[in-house]
Amino acid sequence: MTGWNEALLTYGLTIIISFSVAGIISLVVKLLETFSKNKS
Amino acid sequence: MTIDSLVNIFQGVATLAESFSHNPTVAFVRIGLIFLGFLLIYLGKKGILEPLLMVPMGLGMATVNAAIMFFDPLNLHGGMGTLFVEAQAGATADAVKNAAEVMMMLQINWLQPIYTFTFSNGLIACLIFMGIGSLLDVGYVMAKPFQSMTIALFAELGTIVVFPVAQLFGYSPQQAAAIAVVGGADGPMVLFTSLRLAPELFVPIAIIAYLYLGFAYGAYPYLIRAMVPKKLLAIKPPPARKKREITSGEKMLFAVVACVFLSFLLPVAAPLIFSLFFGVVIRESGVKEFVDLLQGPVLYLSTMFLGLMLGVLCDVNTIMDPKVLPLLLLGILALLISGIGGIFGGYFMYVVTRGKFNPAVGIAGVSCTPTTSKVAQKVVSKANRTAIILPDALGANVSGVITTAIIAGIFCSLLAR
Repeated sequence: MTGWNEALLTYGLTIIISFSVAGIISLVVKLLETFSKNKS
Repeated sequence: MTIDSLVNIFQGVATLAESFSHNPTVAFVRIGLIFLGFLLIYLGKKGILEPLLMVPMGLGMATVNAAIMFFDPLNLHGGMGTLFVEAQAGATADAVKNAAEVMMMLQINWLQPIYTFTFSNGLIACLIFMGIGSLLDVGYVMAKPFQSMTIALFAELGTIVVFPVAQLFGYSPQQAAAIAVVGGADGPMVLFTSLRLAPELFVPIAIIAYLYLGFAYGAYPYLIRAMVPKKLLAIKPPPARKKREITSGEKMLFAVVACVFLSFLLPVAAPLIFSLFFGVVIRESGVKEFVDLLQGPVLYLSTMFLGLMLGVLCDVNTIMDPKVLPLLLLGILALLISGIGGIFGGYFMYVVTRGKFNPAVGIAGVSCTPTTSKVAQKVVSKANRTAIILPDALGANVSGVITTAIIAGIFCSLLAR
């Protein structure tokens, strides 16, 4: 059916980018936690 | 005094009489739209639909359909029009003719400057996004980023499914993408995508999106109750492990990194991504004057003109377009599937956490910020007053905005004409 390939490609890319953003968030939080522990 | 003079004075009545004699359907639809406008004002006032949008939209819709006169300088609507706005001005391929048409309409229609300079270039969507960004607390996403993103991804199902379905109805891939983004339930994103991909359908898609977002506010509680049994609705989230509080500097750092990262990946959606995170950064910067400006005048002025403009654009000529009817169906389908997908996301987290997660939170993945979070909390509170799911719901809500921006960016890049 027309459009399913583009739809699945869009969803796949969205999943990858979204989890990359989630990964960046976790990394930022972890780094800042470590930084603030070292500081104190 | 002749009959012609009377007709010239009461042109609203005369155009209605003319429609009855030549095309009664148009006349009935026009009367129906006037009453629909009254209904929207009433439902907005009662709080059943979102009053911020529905009151100006309802008044605009009722008035513009009443004020139709014998006036059509661009010969687009069979000799009838209003002095409000002409969305088709400058829609031809000829650039010189375009400029002349736009200049002429700018000097005639009182709302034309707002349409031409804020709507047709997407500025209004960006201004609203700045305001929304200034209200968002990204701390909720930062607390549980993977959980929030997972729910938001489930709640994008409507967008993904409706894209191919719309093509079955005969829409081009660009038009199908513009209508599918309604499933993301993010008004500014719908405006932005339809302007980029299907400007010819911008008006009906924007009207449908905002009408349905208003209805979603009233309909989603029923969807939650239909899909989540009372026992699960009453689930209380486990007490949060004692964690260091996320500071405003950290939230700001996240907003800056996410803004640059997403703009780097999806430059087409960069204006919207920037506007959203600009609002977040201003909020966390603590510059009170800017925060007040974005949360007050910018957000509310844009929302008021958005509602008014959508109402005014909802005239009988737009609604009678044969391409509009399938859009009505596809818009509601997108929001319904996204809502169902979101609740499935809630169930997925319920299974992953071994029964500690309230599935109703899933509806908040549909990114109508903060409406769907409030809807989820309201329904859960009725089942268990002590269950506070709002922080989890707001996390999913903010993530929903991010995932919708990503999908809109991919669609705009993939399908650019």
